[in-house]
Amino acid sequence: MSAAAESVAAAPAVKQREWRWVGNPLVLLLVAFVLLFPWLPFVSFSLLGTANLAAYYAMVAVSLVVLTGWVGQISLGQAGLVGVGAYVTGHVVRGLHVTFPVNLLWAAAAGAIVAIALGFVAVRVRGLYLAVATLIFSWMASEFLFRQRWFIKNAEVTLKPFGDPDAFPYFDWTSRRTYFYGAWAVVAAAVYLMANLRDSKTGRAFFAVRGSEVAAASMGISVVRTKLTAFAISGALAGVAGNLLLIRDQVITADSFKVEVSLFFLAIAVVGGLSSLGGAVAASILFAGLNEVFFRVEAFAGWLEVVPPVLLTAVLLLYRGGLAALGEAIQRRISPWTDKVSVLLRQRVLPAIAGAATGARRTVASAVRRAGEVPAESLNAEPEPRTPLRRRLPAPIASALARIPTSRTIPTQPRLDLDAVVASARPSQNGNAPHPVETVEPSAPSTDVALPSGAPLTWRTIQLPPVSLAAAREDRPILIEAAGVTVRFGGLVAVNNVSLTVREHEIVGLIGPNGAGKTTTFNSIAGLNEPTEGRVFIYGHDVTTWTVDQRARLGVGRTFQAIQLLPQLSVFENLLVATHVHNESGLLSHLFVGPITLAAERDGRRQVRRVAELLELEEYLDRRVADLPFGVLRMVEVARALVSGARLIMLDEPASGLDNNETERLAQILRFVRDLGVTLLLIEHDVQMVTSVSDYMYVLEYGALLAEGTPADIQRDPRVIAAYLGEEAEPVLEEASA
Amino acid sequence: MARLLVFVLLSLPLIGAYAIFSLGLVVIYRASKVLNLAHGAMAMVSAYLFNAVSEAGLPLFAALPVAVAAGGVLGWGVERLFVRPLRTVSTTAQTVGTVAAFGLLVAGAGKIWGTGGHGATRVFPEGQITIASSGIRYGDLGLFFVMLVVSAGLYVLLQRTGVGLAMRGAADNPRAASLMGVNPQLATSGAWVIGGSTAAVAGILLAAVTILHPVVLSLQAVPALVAALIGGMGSLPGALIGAAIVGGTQGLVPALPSLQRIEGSAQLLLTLLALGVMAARGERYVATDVRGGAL
Repeated sequence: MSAAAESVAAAPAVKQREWRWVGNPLVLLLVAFVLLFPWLPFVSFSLLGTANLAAYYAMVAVSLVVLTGWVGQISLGQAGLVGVGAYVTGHVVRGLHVTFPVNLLWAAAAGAIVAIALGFVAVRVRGLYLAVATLIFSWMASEFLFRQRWFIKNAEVTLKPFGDPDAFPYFDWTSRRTYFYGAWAVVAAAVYLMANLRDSKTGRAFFAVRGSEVAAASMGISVVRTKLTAFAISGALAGVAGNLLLIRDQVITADSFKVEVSLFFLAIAVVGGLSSLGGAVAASILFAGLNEVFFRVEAFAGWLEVVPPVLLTAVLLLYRGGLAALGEAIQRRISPWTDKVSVLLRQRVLPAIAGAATGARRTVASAVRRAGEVPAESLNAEPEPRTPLRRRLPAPIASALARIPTSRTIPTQPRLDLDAVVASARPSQNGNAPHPVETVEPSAPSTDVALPSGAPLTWRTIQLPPVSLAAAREDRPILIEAAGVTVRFGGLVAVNNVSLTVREHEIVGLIGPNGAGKTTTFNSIAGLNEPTEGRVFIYGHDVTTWTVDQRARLGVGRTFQAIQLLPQLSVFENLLVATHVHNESGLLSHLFVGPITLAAERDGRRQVRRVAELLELEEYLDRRVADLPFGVLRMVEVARALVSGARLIMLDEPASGLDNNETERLAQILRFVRDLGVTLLLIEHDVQMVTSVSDYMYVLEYGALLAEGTPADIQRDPRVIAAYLGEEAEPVLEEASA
Repeated sequence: MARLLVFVLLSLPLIGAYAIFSLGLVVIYRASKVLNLAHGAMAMVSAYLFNAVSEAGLPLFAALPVAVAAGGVLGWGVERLFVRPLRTVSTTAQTVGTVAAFGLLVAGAGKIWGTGGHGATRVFPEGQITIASSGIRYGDLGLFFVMLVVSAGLYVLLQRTGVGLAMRGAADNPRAASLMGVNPQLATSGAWVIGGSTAAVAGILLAAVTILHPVVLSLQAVPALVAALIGGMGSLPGALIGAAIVGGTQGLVPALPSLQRIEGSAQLLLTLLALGVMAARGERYVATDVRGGAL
């Protein structure tokens, strides 16, 4: 894959958007061009029609970007959804006399409802089934739905019902100019809303689900809900596209929504770069423009059908970033001089008209950036608490909403308050506030592990008082309890009646030879497989049947043996995804960048920076995950669990793939994380590492519990020694852990 | 009762074509985890080729192998050009790749042979046999019997020899398969060749009894996709049962007066059935599908 294509792969990033383009002369020219387009002398009646067709294409392409580009679910039936939107528009216009801006909502609702219905089926199965489901839907729609009299009887909309000249608002759709402004305004609004969504909690959930469903769920993201949201939004946009089509043509036929039309739409989105909104719009203009060219140039006659698949093939095989990557490449080339002009513009010309423009620039990124300019004290102040809309609803409605069975009400644990922990940290000798920081040499007395010789290990950290470990184990509350867990796979008993407890503020190690059932036990606690018998309690709740994301919402974070980060995004963006659980903003607020979203985004970014600072990952924050070494990524996963505010972190073989130095550093970090007030459960192959870091250990063999106790007890336990090394090998283990 | 029998007979060619298509789809899916959306287009191009070489004067016994071999080459080529290069990106991208192949084949066929439909060269002789006072053409019956032969052949090849195992192994774990002496790329290519040549058989026979048209013929694979889905996507017997359900529903619905009046009621029923099958299955999570790209 070329570098350009890779950079586009990162395009859906939740990056902090730069608003340099406000003063960019090219952009200003473009805006002026679009606004004046219908009046330009060379713009013929047919060219205006082409521009209007492009608006329709753009709407469909944007709907595909959300579903296919961002969530990774292919839709092969978008034309069917467009058709539903178009016919429903006909019904509400002719039957209910609902006119233009309002009937958009009807079309959107119709598309969304059908998409959700399809989604409900598709989310239950994995893989390419959504693609099949949408294809089948499209087939059914063109063979059945779009042939039923009752459904298509209002397919012809004379212009009158669209508006009463005396009423307000009145749109004269017979004019192509009116349609140009109307349709492109709708497209612009959709692009604006989707750009906001992309940079919000919902957008991050989309990317997380596309990257790894398990990892997404482990951050408290409901995979099902996220996919359904994407289906609904995509369906709504497709429905709106249907509305635009009906207004444009005034009469629609089922031919516009045939199965192969869906494939054509997919081609537009892919040529645009699939995950880029701007690319989707550009590709729509390109494809509509091709109509115009092939219509005018006689030599091309008859070749129009060949071009879309050729373009699709070329993009797929040669330039996967599509038009979005092309645009970025061009922008990089010309940015030196556009920057010069834009600086000039911004310093001389814009100030005069800037007042109005600034008001319009209310987006997540700009707001957060502005927050970065305020003094540090006010940034550190608690974000003013805001009540989410659903909490402000009248009590009966709110309680009715709470009873909707789709989401189990999860008693979310309060987020681990890192600020309070840091504030309680021991001041360092030189007392440089606000964060007491000092260098801990590897031989610091707090560590009791012999260091491998090699590169000196320095890790500055805050000196935290060892949290309540002083209290006897039995006095500390139980956070995880597995009670008699048995897991059978068919006839195989992988785990047999295992009981273990993890108590607050301790590191519990779970070890065992290969095939001992460590991972199965771990997965039962994490929610990946349901025990055949026995119960699992977390924070005192019986979570045996809870899903992964429900457990995560309860306050459990985890890391993976095989790193599950989003490779195309930066470390910062990856960590930001984990703020999901404690981000209380809702979809509407995301779309319009409401105050709750802004407050939550600010808080989330602060949390990420705080954790990065604590784990010393600042230097990597802006690096792409794909470019970083494995050892750093392991720390990023620990950081991600910490960002989520979990008080309980489960680590799946954290030392695997790490060299000695990295393992040692990891052990230090785990102890540090424990001292922050977090409880850890880890399964691990590296016995030396576990015994050095754990406060308490469990040993599994053949699916059953072999021994439990402090690391010292375990090391002396003859059964454990026998299980690991055979009877006579006792001295070796002693030496290894000495 | 006699009326019902007629409709059963009428559904035989549909069952035959859908079964061959969905068997090919399943073979390809098992060997490369890709949904071949270009399946019908491959069949369509093979049918056009058969028609062209027949009209050029080649006798049936020579034209048929040529066209079926061309279908195999087409399958090999689609995998090679549109699927394999995208293997490192994601299965999503690979599926989009087959969409591109679909588009190119349909557009190319339209460019070469025209976008209008016409009759195709018959494989089986004209004429019909009369059962219960209604006729069924030799071509329709032939399609059904060829399907039986094709499924028996595939069954022997995939279940009784190591070929099927090698193909599945190549898809599930290419590295392990290659350690066992299987060339995973060869196994995948083999599956696509089988898919392409069986699709060619179905396409040629179906065009002979229906119509030779770039889009219409290509979309005949959509019901086959429904059949493969009902059959569980990974199972050959399942694909056959699915094809019997899909073809049978499309043939029998016109026999029921209440459903006959509703246009497309067979498609509606099948869609509901397919969605129901999907809803009844259920797996919780996919580990990851992103192998580095945005697609």
